[in-house]
Amino acid sequence: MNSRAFSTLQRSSITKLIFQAKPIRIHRGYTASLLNSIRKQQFPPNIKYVHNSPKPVPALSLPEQILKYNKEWAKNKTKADSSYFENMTAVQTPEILWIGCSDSRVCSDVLTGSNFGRVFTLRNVGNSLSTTDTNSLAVIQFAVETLKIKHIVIVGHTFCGAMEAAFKYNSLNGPISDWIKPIADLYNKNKPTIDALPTHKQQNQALSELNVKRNVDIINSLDIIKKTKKSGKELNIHGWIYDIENGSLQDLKVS
Amino acid sequence: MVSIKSFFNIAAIATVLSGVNAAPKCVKRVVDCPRHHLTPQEIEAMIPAGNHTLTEMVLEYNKIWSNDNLSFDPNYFKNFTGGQYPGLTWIGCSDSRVPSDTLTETVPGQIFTHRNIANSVSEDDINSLAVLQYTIDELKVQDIVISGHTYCGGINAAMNATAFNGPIAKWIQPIADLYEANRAQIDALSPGYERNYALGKLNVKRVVDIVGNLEMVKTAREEGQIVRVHGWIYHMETGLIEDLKVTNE
Repeated sequence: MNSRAFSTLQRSSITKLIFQAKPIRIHRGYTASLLNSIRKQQFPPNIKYVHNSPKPVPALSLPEQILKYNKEWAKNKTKADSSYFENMTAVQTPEILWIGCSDSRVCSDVLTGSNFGRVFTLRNVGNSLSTTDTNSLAVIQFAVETLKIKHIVIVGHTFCGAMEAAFKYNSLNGPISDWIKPIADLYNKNKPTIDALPTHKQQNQALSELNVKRNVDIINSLDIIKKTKKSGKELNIHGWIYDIENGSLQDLKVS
Repeated sequence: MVSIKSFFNIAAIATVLSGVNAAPKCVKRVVDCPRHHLTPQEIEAMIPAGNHTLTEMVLEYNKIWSNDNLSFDPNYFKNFTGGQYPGLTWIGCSDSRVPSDTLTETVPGQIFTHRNIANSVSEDDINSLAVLQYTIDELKVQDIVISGHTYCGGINAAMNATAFNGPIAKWIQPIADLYEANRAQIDALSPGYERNYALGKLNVKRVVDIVGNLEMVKTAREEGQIVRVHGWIYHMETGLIEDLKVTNE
């Protein structure tokens, strides 16, 4: 059968015929080859069968997508281990406090495998700390006093938007201007060294690394940290940088 | 004799068949990607044995994770160097049992995240306000989610606020005030889970109202920008997110 012999109208009629076709009853006198040739007329092999496609589903917004996929995630987790979530409700015992950037590309849980209740997380713009910020100080106090955290890691990253904001600090206003000020001051103090670097990526990374060092120094100067270390409890402070270009964490060795 | 039509059919089939073994690019969520992505458990099992401190283990984990992604697609990370375009801002709790990136089944680049004790925002806290300002002015994200959770330590602390001092006491003061204002109703529930859940829900609603009424949000909305603020609770005991349906838009 030549498919060019059928017009679109004829093809849709054939489709209707296929779905409405009743099974051929085998009567005496019909041989198998005759039945086959009848079947070929009903189901020509070269025709592409066009079904009525279902109506396209409107794209979900990200919150709707998350609510939908979260259900599947929970179901799969429970299937693999029926007491997984029940075990999570016990008091949390993380050993690491992650102080990282809010950047959507630096997913602390994913790149450290921390879905085992391992990492207590503080994420803000530019992974920044200050001695007057109640928000981050409360997290550090809770981590050190209540959870008895053993490691604090401050993680900066390349291509950081907060460093870009520090580079153009004079154009900022509002809360973000107050927030970025310490990083802008750090940039101004090291301007010759940073501006001398050949590419913008390197300038951003250099400021990010200096910012991590600044935060490590701030943490080491906090009373609560000094007290904990003096009492002999194990507490290590680390400075890391996450390279967005290859997904790797590097220890800056600034503890 | 092969007709032109059947030639194209054969060509189409050949293309499809050759594509079956080629790995499609990951664009949506982790589970849409082919199975040769290692699970966290598989990566843990591959960490070389030895006397690692916990942070050394995390660095080893990360090395294996990033190699896994690169072996699947050499440009996987380079795609991120052009900037971030998240679809949602998550303001959640620092709790280690609420890994927002994992439980939402998202891939890197989708959620801009701020995590602090008891997912709180206040008008004099420049930390959370800077996150919101960056979200609205720079990233132009349309959806902000305030996500509380059950068994929250911050909520428990707010119900025993007098036992704390220092930055924590100051930080949880608004939640402690919320508890006092609703004490009769909350204390009528059984202690433990029920009270924590009730105060957690009230706290999420409180923060949704604060964020929805911020000057920067009002200004953005007046200029025609869409800003929706959602309130969710993550049920740790089942792994499910509950939408509290208190969306401010």
